Amino acid sequence: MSEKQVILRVDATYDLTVKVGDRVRQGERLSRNPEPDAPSTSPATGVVRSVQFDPERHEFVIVIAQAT
Amino acid sequence: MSNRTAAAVAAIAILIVTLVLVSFAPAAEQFSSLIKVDDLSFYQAQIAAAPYPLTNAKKVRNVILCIGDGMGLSQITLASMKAAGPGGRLCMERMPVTGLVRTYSASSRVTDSAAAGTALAAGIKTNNGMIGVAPNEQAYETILEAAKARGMATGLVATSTITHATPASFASHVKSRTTEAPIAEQLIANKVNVLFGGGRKYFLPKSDPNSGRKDDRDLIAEARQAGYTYVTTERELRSIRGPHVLGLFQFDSLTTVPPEPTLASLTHKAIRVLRKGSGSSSRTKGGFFLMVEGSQIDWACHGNDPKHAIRQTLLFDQAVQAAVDFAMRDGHTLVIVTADHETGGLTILEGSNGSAEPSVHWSTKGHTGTPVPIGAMGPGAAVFAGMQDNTDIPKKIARLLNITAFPRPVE
Repeated sequence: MSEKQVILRVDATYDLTVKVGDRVRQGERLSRNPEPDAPSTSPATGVVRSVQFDPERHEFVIVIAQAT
Repeated sequence: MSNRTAAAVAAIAILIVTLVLVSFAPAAEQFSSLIKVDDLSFYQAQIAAAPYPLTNAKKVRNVILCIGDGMGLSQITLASMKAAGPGGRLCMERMPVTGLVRTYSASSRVTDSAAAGTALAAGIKTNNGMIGVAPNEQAYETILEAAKARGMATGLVATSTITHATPASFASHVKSRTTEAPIAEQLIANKVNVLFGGGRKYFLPKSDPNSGRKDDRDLIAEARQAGYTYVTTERELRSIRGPHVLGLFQFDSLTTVPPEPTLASLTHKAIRVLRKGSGSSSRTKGGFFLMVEGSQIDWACHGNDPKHAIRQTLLFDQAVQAAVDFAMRDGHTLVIVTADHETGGLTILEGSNGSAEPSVHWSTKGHTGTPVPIGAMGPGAAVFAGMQDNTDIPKKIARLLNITAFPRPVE
């Protein structure tokens, strides 16, 4: 089975509601960012493969693996 | 598509994602092979634990504002336990006046460094992500700009890019912290005397392969034309004089490892330039305002990494020591040490299985709304005692410098 991976960047100010290994659904909130327009919902259904902090942009880079 | 083709496509996709992730790897991880996080021999703990003396001097000539990004009480205490032991103190723990600072922003209980930096610089609450402007995008004068208008020399020192949220908040006005190229333009246009940090890429034209700009402006050439001396290494730093110095020691953030100058040496050099520079007596007479940020405490705490958090806190404390050493000699310098917010929700627990080392618990990978400590020494320090809002801090500095009408919008 192959795996498609999608990346979501979210503001690192706010706590994440998921961790590596969690299953997420498309549209599920992944961050406690209170701003309604900020990107914080999962773009796909799958499993969180990694979460890394990007200090230059002060963002978490969340990689979600979709089973295809 | 055959199974072989599908497998090849999947392998290429995984390779691309891996390459993308490698390029996102945080600075702390990129340099982790260079950093011996357990080796704290660079830090010499003080024998004395008593607070620095209070002063009767009334006139504030110089102000040095030291900001530990993401540095709460637990970050300080953990570093202190590790480096100074239970009876010892970090330099910043010896401030004779202490208090607490509330940090919420206009848009959230939990601030980011842009809104917190704006509060500490301009004395106003704004939305997370905004720099030097109110939520309606009205620019407000910063304490650095007000000090400059009063005839004081000014400086910004950081271990992030010099265009990152905290230093940017003191000398630029943009609605988004992510626009570091315009921030770089404003730092130069503002003629801040000393700019020491990383972020060279935002000063280079797009024709340069290392550029982070989308236009052809060469801000380093523009800075030189405006009278700045430009340096990129510790060796070049040693010989420079004022009155304007642009020191960009990396394309991105600083590594905080040799041969790069340390935050303490940058602070020491910034003070020398601001105090003496080219020998301009008017600048010496006018005093100076200097902001020093330990930027990477926050980054270590986002990674819930206690060893890096300790190391970055101690590097910051050495910079505070450089400020204190000068203030003790000078007698007319106010030193303030605080944080923009706490990161990680760090708490310290008893060591597990009888270990002498404390255990730590992180409650988040983001920021928290917990109040942060403030310490002050020198003339005027007493006004920073007790509980206060982060917007009160520049207002108090303004009063001590006889700056009227602060905060105020930029016309």
